[in-house]
Amino acid sequence: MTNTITSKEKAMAGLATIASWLSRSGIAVAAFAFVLPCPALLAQTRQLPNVHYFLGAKGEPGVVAGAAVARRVPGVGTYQAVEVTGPKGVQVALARDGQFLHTLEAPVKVGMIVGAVYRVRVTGIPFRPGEELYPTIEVIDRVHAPAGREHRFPIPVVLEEADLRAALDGALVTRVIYLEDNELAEPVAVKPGTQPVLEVGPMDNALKAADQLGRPVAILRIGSRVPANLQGDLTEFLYGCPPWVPVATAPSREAMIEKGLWPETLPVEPSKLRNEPPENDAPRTPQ
Amino acid sequence: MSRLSSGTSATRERLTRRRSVWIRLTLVVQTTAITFGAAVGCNSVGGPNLLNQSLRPKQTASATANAVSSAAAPVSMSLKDNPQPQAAAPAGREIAQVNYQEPAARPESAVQVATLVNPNATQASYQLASGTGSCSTGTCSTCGPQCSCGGSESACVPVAGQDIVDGQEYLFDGGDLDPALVVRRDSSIAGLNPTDTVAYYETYDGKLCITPTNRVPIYAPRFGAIRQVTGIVLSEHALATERILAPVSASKFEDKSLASSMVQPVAPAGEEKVSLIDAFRDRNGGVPLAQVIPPHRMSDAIVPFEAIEFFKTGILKNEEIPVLGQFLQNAKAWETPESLAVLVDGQEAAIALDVKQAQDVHVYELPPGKCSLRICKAASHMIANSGDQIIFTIRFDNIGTQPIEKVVIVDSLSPRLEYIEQSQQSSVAPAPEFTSEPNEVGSTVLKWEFKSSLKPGEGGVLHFRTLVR
Repeated sequence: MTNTITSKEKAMAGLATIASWLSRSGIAVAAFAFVLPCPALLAQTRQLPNVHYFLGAKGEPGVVAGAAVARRVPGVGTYQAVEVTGPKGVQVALARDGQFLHTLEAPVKVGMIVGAVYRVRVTGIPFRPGEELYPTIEVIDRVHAPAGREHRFPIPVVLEEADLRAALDGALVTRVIYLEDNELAEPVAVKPGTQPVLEVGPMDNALKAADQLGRPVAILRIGSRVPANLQGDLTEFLYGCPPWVPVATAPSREAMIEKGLWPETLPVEPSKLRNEPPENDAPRTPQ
Repeated sequence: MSRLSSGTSATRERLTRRRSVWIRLTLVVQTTAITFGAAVGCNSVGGPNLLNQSLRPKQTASATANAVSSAAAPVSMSLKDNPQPQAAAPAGREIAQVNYQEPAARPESAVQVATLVNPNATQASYQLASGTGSCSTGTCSTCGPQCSCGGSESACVPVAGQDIVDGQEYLFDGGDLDPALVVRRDSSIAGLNPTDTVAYYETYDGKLCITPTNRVPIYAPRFGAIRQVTGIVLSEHALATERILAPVSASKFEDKSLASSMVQPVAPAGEEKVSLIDAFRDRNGGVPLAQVIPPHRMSDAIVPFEAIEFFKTGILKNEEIPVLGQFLQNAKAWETPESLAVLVDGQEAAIALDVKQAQDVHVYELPPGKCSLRICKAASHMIANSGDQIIFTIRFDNIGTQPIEKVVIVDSLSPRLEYIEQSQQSSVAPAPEFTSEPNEVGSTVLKWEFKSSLKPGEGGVLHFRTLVR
């Protein structure tokens, strides 16, 4: 065992010596310049999947987004619609100019910058009255909704009751929100306002798991950290307080039906959809 | 001391000279490397853009390549598809050059450049009408700032389907993905992938034909979440030291950590290709009006998007092409007054409804065994959320001169689409035998088997409802 360690140490020392000599002599730079345009490597780079090899969701908020900015991922710097939903009664406050604004009842739909970190204030938690949380939302990618329909396809940030309870008890809940690959999607029906959730252990890399199932677009972290002075300058606490734009919430079909603004569609009756023999040769006309 | 100092100075001088040589060598090598890199970048797909390309969403390149391959599939009856036009022409008459370009005939470099310069969904893509190149840079009032027409303003036409940036955000239905569908001798099929919609039938002389529909994209992204809870759970269960003088170590350690392994319900076996939409390009798909059988057996009222003439009678009118293109998102039958008029067996085709007379007459003799089923698929919505209903309509016509038999249309739905039971309808009589069975991805395979042959000019409509999961 001792001999093995010694040989390893010798080998590492030798590599370090060679590396330092190469760096002093400039060969390393030249070798890099030769390696980069190698056609074989360029051919491999075309097949690279969109995964985060050295990153994880456990890091400081902004690390993954910063990597996206450094990689010049298309869409960085643009506004992306994000919708924060939660249990009934939960209120969300956004920040502007270093201070939290008045609270809004969830769901709150807002346009956030891809590559920035937002901290929101969550109050009105029904099962823990008087307590509040300050989760962060890290937007790392965007979706390409049709022009004029961006509000219909926001990134859903769901504050589930279990997550809020765990965070209030001192745990850190991390949710990596990803765009499902439709070819790999589970064939289960998803109700509006919900999303399929996959649990991973504390020692796993949630970002890597999301890479395997689709394309990560945002990271939600819910912890128990609170600002020292809520009335003071919260710019650092707010990660620079990046700007956001309001997004009009389109009324749902159910809400419009309740208000009488949308004709209620009768459910499909299979018995009336079967092919029936025509009574005569005349074509049918609408009644 | 002096020898030592002189030796030291000589050594320092040698080192300085060697270092200068190294610096010169390094500069030469770096210059060579930079030059080499620039040359490689120009020969490939745009040098620095190539590195950016690797950071794109992972299915863009494969989707583009797949679009080219899938667009090469014959769309029933096209001019390029007919191998005998010149042989069938009368002696002494020249065949006019038809301005038609197969999508697969475009050079691969043109497709790649078109993909590279159009990364945004809202940006239209253009291609030279001749099909020999692509518009990459420059300015052009017709094509926009990302396009160069080479001085000709009318040289560019929009390329359908180029605005799909990430195929993961779309639901696809229709077409025939690789591996392509095959029919065995016992009439069983293989190669029916999810999202495939294919019709297979036999011609009058027993030839087996397989015709896929166009591929319909529906923007319907769905989001999931990976949940991870971390915290100081073990602190509540830490044991105190037994004695003060004892070695400070825990006498017992209970591992209270959560599961460290992830159970993945759907193992991503690999990255499957997501192709773009196909092209609908057909100039001679006319059906004589006198032989059109109206869909009088549909018990349900015609939904609004089916109210166009193409779905009612099978006749493709000029004024309805933009409307049909909206449903198909890829209508590419750009009709012009100078377009070719077609006569089949002495009968004027429906496309000749234009008030202008044909400028030239070509006689095409269709050989026996010609695959002549035109099949087209459309969806009621182009964008959808989970919980929405989508109606799919399949229009099929026999545009040949011979009847076709044993027509079977199969549709394997995407895992995000759920077929609503007993919602299918057909407009032909007798009604085809309909069966549905689950496919390998948790959705449904729909199958219509026609009991009678489809005579020339006959056609019909199938439609069914699905629920977006």
